[in-house]
Order: sequence, then C-alpha cells, then structure tokens
Amino acid sequence: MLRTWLEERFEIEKFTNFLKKHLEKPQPPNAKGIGYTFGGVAIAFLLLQIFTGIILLFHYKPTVSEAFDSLQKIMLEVPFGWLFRQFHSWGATFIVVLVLLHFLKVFWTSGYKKPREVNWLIGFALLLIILAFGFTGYLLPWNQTAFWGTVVATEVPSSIPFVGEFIANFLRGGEMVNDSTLSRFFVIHIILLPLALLLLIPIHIFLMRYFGISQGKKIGESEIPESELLAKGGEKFYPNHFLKESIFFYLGLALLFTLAVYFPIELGEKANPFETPLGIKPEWYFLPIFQFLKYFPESVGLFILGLVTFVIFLLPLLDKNPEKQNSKRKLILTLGIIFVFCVILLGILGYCSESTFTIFGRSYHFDILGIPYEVSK
Amino acid sequence: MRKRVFPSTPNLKFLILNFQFLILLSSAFCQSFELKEKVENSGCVECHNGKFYPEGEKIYDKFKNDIHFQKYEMICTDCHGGNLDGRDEFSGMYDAPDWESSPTADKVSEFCGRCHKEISDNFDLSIHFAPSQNKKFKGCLECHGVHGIQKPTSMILENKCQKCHAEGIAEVDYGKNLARLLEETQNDFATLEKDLVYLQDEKTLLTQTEIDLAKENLRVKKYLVQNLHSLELDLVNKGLDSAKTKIAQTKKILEKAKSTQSQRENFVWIVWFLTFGIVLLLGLKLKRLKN
Repeated sequence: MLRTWLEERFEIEKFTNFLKKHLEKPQPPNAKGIGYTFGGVAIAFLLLQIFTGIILLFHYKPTVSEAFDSLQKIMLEVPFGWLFRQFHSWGATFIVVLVLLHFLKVFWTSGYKKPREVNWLIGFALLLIILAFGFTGYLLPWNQTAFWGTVVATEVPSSIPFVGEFIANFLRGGEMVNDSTLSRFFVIHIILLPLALLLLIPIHIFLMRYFGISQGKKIGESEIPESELLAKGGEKFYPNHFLKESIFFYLGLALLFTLAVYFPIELGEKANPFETPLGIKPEWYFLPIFQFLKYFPESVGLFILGLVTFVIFLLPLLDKNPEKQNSKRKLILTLGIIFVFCVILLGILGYCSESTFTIFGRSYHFDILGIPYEVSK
Repeated sequence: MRKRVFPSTPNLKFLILNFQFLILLSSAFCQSFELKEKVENSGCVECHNGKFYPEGEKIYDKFKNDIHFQKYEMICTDCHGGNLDGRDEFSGMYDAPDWESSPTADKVSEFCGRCHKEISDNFDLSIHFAPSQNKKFKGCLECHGVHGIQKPTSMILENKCQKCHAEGIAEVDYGKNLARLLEETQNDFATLEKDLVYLQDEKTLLTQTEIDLAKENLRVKKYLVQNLHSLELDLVNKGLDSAKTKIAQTKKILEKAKSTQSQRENFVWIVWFLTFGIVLLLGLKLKRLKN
C-alpha cells in the first residue's frame, strides 16, 4: 500500500534500480580478504558512535562546573547510561584501530596510486578528522587526566615560531584551559567534525565506487573491466561483501560490550587546575607523537612531525614508482614497515614513561624518555 | 633513592633504548633469584637447615615461606646480625660484632616496630608484655611464631591464653570467643578490601561518596589490630563492635555494586551467544551464495 502510494507520486522504480545497480556492483577477485572489510566496518562503528553520542548529549552538560557530574550521573543513574558512555569511549578506540588498519591496507595494496590519488588525500584527511574527534572528545569528561592532558597538548603548538602563541590561544579560547576551551572543544566535537565527516565520507565512498578497488596489476596489464569481474571470480558488494562486513561488525559489537563490562574506561577524579597529577598521558593513539616530542626541542620535533605528516599526505605524488606488485616496491614497503615499527616503539615507550611497573617482583620506574631505573626500597 | 639499571651515555641512550626493555625483563628475572641463591648457599643455611645437624630444626624451610623473606627480602642477618658468608660458627656468628643469637623481647619489639610501630607500641604497654620478669618471653614472636611469621589463628591464640590462664575461667572463654570473632572480622575486612579494589577502579558501579565511605570504614581495621595488641578485653570488644557496624555498612554498599556487575557479566555471555548465532546464520548464507 505504501509502495503504491509512493509510486503514484515518485519514480520509485528509477530510484530502486539505481540503488540495486550500485549495491550489486561487483568487487574484484583480489578484494575478498578481511583487509577489505576494515573501511566498511569503521563506517558502521562511526554510525554507532553518532547514535551513542546523541544519547549522551541528552544528559551531558558542557560547562566546567557540571560536565564531570553530568557524566557521573549518566554512568550511575541514567538507565544504560554506563553502557552508552563505555560504547562511546571504547568505540573511539575501535574506529581509530579500524581506520589505521584500513590505511595500512591501502598502502600495502598500492591503493593510493594512479588513478586513486585524490581518494588517498581525502582518506588521510578523514584519518586526521577521526584523530581530532579523539582529541576534542578526551577533554569533555572534564576529569584530571583529560584536563591536564589538554593543558599539555594545547601548549605544544606555542613553540611554533611567530604563529605558535596564536594557535595555542585559539585552541584554548584564551591563555588557559577553562570554560572557553570546553565549549570550543564541545562545538568542534559535535558540530564541526561531524559536518566534515558528512562531507568527506560520501566523496570518499563515491571515488572508491567510481575507480573501483585497486586490482594490483603489473605495468602494462589493464584492470579487469566491471562487466567481467563476476565472471573472473569477483563477487557482488551486496549481499556477498556486505555479509562479510556484517559478520565482523557483529563480532566487534560483542567485543565492545565485553570490554565495556570487564574493562570499563575510568571516569577518574574531577579536574582540579591547582593539582597537577603525575604522569599525564594522552589517549593511546597520541602516545607515539607525545613520546617523539620529548626527544627533540619542541619546534624541531613539531617541524619533523609536520614534515612526516606532509610526506604521508602527499605519498601518491612522491611515490613515482608505477608498480603495484609488492615484489617490485620493496623500498617503499621497507620504509613503511620501519615507520610502523617506530610508531609502535614510541607508543610503548610513551605508555611506560613516567610510570612504575613491577616486573618479576622488582619495581622499575621509567623516566620521561622511557628509560628504566630500578626503584630501591 | 634510584639506582640505574643500565649505564648509558647521552649518545648511546637512543641506540640502546630499543633493546632495554628485553634486557630489563631478563635482568629482573635473574635478580629475584640472586638473593634466594645467596641465602641458600650461605653458611647459615648450611648449618641450620639440618645438613650438619640432621636432628636440628630446619629453620630455612620455615623461613623461605615467610612473607618478610618472600616479599620484603629480609634475610637471616637482618635480625641476627652475623656474617652470611661465614663458613663456621666463629666467622659466621660469634666473631661478628652485631651477632645476636636470640634477640630479647625488647629487641624484637624494637625491630618489628620499625615497620609495625603503632602495633608494637600498644603491645609494649600491655600487661602481657613483661620481658624483664620472664627471660624466655619472646615478645611479638610468642603469637606470630619464629622464622615462619604469620597471622595467629584463633586456635593459636586459645593455646597461648591457656598457657597462663586456666581452662574454664570466664576471662579465657571470653578471650576464646573474642579470638574467633576477631578472626572472622579480619577475614571480612580482607574480602571487603579485595572487593573494593576491584570495584572502585571505575565509577560505573560506585559513586565517589560510596568509595570514600567504604575506604573510611575499612580504615577501622587498623585501629582494631592496634587495640587487639593492647590485649585489654574491653578495648578490643569495643573496637570489635564498631568494626562490625562498619563492616555491615560497607558490605551493603559493595554487595549492591557486585550484584550489578555480576548481572552485566552474565549478560556478556548472552551477547556472545546471540552474536555467534547471528554470525553462524550470516556465514551459512554467505556460503550458500558462493555455491
């Protein structure tokens, strides 16, 4: 009945045919592995993140005096509030992991090479937006670690010559982290960044559909045309690939629930600007940058970081090798592996730094550079 | 005071950074065995663990299970002085300037008081602490044992009381009951402390006010133990009453949180059960599509 009603008014057939054509668009035969589900599952978790974020917004109060208490209320009094908050906090980690894996998969499979260069640039911008979500969301609970983590992080740009102070003050909304910073981060987190995502994700998906998934062909070998993909071992996006993504999404959801119950993310103590806690650390995905900046004077460190980011961003233009087969791109792959190794190492050092751990019954304190000292009794 | 594990120069620092973690792990592993090996190969253990005097008490067998050795790395020479490397009674014991064969109750109390000050002070003031009248009196060690120091059980306490107080005297019966109650209270405290550590880490189950109240309540344990060492029945009894009230209050708070957590944990199983069901259905559908 509804369909008839709609058909009398709109050209439903046209729309459903368009949808069917795009949903059934075939995937190349090489895109059957788990690696090709990361992007889709990340989008599913992003939708979940938007849902939980909206629920939290019903009760969250973005002011210095009320933020922490409102979050505590969400976790203790609002029905299933604890679950939504844990899903939102752990969900951020899930999305970062999935987006990073997707990013590495694209690098590994030469997905950034001609003609897909623009999609790499958009994808990289999306990665930065996801990290910005994490950065701005970290302050919103207004607890000690969030407050002091933001104090340290917003101080970093101030060492940039000439414009540093301006950037730092612009981020904080003043000289110090206070009510203005919270409002600013809140607006960026719930309005500006979601808008940027809503703009870039459709373009990213459109370009991915337009160029198709990279088939990793040799030089001179042309990619299989869309019309022949199914005959040559490819499979439809819907239902085949979609089912695979759904399986991983459901497994991820169950894992998310398990983590929310067994390893809930602490709310900690309410922010106190007069009491600096020991060992202020950012979220795990900023630990490599946090640790890296400790080994250099701040302006030099920031310059290197900026340069590395710029090189990764412009990778499709800098990597002139047209080869898409891994056996013929050993140099770039080796550099990539070294880079990932360094990032993981810096992350571990950042995690250990300024903390004391007991290893085999002995206590060790890791100093600011991550160097261990035995703590005598 | 901090001791560097690995010497490094600023130039080398960055280079060895990558390898330090692995080296550190192996180093920590070796060091914990070093002390044990040192004691086991010492002259003390050679003579006093029945090797030369098979009929003698195997002291090291008891001491190696002592918390002071296991956790705080205290060894023979910390209490007795002497020389761990000495191979005979002269170089190991008598010729060493700080040698103490059997420390007197005063010395034991002073030594234990270095870490357990309030407890030791209370016991020193009690009527039962009378070292000058009884040379064989070993102070703290009377109830806690020698070389295998432990928390005394109600049975140990009963026997200790009966050494001096006759069976059937109201004071002893009262003491026996009290000892049992104390043991139960101590166990309750231990359980609650464990539960609180588990529950307080995040705030989805307990509010800060509830955590503060529970912590405050559990602090009573310290005073209860101190009062117990005064061996004044009235004082102990009063402390026990107050502890019981606090325990009941804390139990109520923690039980509520525990039951909520347990419901959530049960729900995790349901979620996984449902997920596997969905995944199985989707997997079967995918397989059918491929065929």
